[in-house]
Amino acid sequence: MKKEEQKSYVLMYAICAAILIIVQAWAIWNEVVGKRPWKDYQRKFYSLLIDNINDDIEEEKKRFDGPDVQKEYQEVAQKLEKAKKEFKMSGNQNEFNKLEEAIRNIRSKELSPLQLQLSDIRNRVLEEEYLYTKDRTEERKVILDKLKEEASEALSIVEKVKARLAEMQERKIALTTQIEKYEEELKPFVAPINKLQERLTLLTRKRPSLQEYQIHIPALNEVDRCKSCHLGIDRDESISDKQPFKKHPGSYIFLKNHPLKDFGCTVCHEGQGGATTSVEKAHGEVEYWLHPMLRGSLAQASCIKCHERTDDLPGAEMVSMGQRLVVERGCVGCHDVEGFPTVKIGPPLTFVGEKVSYKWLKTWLKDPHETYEKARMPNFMLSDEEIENIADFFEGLSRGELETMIAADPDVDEEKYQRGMALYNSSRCVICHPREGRGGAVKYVYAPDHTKIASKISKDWLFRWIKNPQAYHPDTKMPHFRFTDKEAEELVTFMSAEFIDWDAVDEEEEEGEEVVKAVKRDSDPASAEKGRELVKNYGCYGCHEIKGFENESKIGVELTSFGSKSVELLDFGVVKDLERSWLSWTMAKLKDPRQFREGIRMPKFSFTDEDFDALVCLLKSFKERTVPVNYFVKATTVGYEPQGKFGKIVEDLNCLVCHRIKDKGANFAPDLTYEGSRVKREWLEDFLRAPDILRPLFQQMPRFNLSEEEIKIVADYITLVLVDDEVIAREDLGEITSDNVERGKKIYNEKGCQACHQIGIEGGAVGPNLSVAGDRLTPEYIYMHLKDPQKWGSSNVAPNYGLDDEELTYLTKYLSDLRAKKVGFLWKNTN
Amino acid sequence: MDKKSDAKIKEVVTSSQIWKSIFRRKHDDTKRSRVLAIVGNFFMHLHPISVARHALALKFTWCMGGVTFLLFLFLTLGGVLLMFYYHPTTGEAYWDIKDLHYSVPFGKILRNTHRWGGHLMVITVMVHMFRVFMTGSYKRPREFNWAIGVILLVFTLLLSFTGYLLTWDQLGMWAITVGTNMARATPFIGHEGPFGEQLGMTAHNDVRFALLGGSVVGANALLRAYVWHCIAIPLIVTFLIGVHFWRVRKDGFSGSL
Repeated sequence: MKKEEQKSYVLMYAICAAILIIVQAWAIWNEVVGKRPWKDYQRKFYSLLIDNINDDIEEEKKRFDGPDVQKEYQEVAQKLEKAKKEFKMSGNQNEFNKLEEAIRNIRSKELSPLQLQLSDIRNRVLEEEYLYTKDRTEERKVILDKLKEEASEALSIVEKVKARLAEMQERKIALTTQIEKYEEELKPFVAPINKLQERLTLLTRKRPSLQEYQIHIPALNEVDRCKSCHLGIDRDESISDKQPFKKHPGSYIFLKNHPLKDFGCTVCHEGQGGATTSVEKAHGEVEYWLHPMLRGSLAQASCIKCHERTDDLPGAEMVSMGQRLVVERGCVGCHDVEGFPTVKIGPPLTFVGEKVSYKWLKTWLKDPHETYEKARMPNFMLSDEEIENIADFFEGLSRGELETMIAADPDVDEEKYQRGMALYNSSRCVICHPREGRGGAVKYVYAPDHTKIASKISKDWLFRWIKNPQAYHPDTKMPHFRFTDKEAEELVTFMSAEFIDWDAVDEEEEEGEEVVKAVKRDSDPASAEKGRELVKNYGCYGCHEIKGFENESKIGVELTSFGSKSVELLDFGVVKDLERSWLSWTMAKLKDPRQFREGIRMPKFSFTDEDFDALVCLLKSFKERTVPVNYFVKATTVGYEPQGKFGKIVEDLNCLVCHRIKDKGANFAPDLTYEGSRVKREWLEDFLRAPDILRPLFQQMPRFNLSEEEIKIVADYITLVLVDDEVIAREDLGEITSDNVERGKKIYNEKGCQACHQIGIEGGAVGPNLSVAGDRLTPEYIYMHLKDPQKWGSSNVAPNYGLDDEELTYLTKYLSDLRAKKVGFLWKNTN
Repeated sequence: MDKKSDAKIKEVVTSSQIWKSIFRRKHDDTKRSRVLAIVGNFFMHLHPISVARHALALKFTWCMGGVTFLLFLFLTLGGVLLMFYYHPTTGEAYWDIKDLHYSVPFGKILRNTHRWGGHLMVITVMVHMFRVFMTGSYKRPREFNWAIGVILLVFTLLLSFTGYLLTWDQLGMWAITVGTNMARATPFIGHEGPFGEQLGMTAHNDVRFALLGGSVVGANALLRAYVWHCIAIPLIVTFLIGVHFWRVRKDGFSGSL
């Protein structure tokens, strides 16, 4: 064995060195290629760019080679050839050359020495001037004056030479005007190609610089390198319709209002903006990254981070729909969400036993959506026994031993029936209540279908309801029509005879049962007790007011930060074949809430696919807001609340279910924010007494039978408060002469107003009927509206014709003159 | 210039105070001075002047002490480079690490070698001590160096521990939470430890509070970990390593069993 100091460690050294070299090589490869996959995308992007320009050039060439263009081009080219030939033949060429020679000579031999001399003298003048200001002696002054004289002399000589030159130059140019003109004409033919070719050479001359693009926004503590792959994201035109080369869709809303440099990408889209080493990492679709990328319209979930209100926000339609649905479909009945009001969307059920038949209640509980397709109540998937228990509970709660008389009754007094029908029509019930699926046009109002209503509800209840709905259901959207007892009775009569469920009657007759109008049942206390348990278990009191459950808390989990729940916290239960992601779980939960395990209480909702998407989007937005204050967009309007007596009437009639005042309410009926400036008071009062037919049937305001006093209150409020200060009273619009009217009429016809508006029976039906516009509208409003139709909101489709002041005045006068007294064939309901 | 004046200048320079303060010995061309130049130089001769043949054998030393020292140098160098990219603040720390991975040139290998190297250093220190223990090299006259070695082990662990928090991720944060919670139970200076309460220790003045700069793992804890990790502990360890090597040279290598 060798002695220690004689042993060789070369092999070990070599192995270590080899490992080191391999690692070094790997590190360099990784640095340059491995962890920079965006380089490939950038290379592809630039080659696509070049392809695009090549395509454009190809196209441009094709256009240029087209027979028409070629013909024109050749014509000019020939003319140019001819001009050039002439130029040579006529001896102009020689003269041109001579002139050029002469000019060159004068420039180099005469002008430049002179100019040199001149600048020399000028410099000396400056020097002398300086010395003179220092000494102020006479000698200096003499020298200075002499020098100045010399300078002006030299200047005049230079000017003369320049003048000679200019004259020669002109002569020279004159010789070639023809040629230049044709050359100029030829330019547009080849300019586009040249321009493209220039761009191409610019691009291909040097290797495109591959670089990491980074947007750093310190305020958001955000670094986004997304653009390193998505190179075309902020270009005006897409160079490819595939990611990552596409431009941002809808950028006129999104990128325009949220410039990349101030917002970056991940503030809306989330994902891991800083990651550049793989697509999955960058999109945050890796384990333990809590905010995977929000693709497409799901990014709307982020609008709420900054925007306080999204209902009128363009581009946020999905999330605002979700916000509406959460309240409107009763999600907040079971789930607490910070920032959302707790509203009981269903009717109170304490006295439901007095309202509906036992049989109907059971059918309804079985599947509300089956019974009425617009039903908002979800399906709790109850067993028949459970349904019976709950129905028994409600029966016991309200009715006890009382009898309920179901309204359905075909044998009624014909006269009463007719009067009821007239009332039914003039009250325009059909605007909200569909009948055989028709009507019910008001968005977001879920009034029951009337078709079979008489077989559902009791006669007494119907009478009381019609008299004053808010007595039974304070939050109802149904207006309080001021019917007299007699009117109410007539209506009930009409409805009991008209809206009978004949199928049910037939069925019962077939089964040999007697059609019973009065039902008296002895409810089973044990069953009712079970029902109470079920009501408590399923949290019915979340949406319905029920006696005995006033102090119960919501049964669902709080959703305030549901959007940031990681997938580990979601209960997949027995479901095995579902993708383990927040998105798929949430969608599955909404679609079939009870699939995960036994004992889940959440019911099944009848949403459309659109609704599901909107809700998922909204749920995704439920997370803590972390943007700095200066990114917040506050709602522009302060919540308006009608006050005083007027406020009471508005509440009573539920005016804001259809109308809108200062951003509050719906836009089914006209916006009343500036109604006081729009309409005349006399017309307003008449209208409140008995609404004219102004609009199509389903939009016509019903008659509420307001008292004279109430009419005065409403009219006062509207004319005093709901006005636009910018509409100034103008006396000169008041005097109307027949001449004015004639000229106005001419303008009306010239501009084609009748295409959309009706006067008398002529004209289109797009805009409102103008037959009595003069009765209805103030001249100031007409003037203003003609001048700027979009002034009070974008819902006005009227085009702006850009009329001048005189035309406006005449047209206003013509329209103001359209009054009922003149247009004799129109009826006016004066009651 | 002739040779004479040459020698004279040399004489003047080498006998000057400045020269002598830098070069302690004469560097004349003798065997003695050549040997002294080597053995007297810390960097050139870590080993004792005379080494027994068996003590050089790899199967005896495992070279674990040397590897540990090499790792320490490597980690110091890499650590300095990392400091160029790292801010010890709660808002930036984690993202700086992410940036090292995604954007900084050679950042990923820089960061990962620092991490793995740190883990490896703990292992090599252990193995080194295991070898010293098994060969009985801790025995007289090397007891003092063994003690230094134990202290060095503790500081190596502390380096690893403080470095763990700097990534400011969940793993590090909870590790430090658990680790410092243990400090609560330290006798006398921990508020949950034996006699701690009697000595007036609370959650706001005990050793845990001193470690964290507060009562929870927060921005102060991060800053403290950073200062300990990058400045204080490396200085202490450098000093102790010096002592350690000096003792090795004085005491010589132990014999083979």
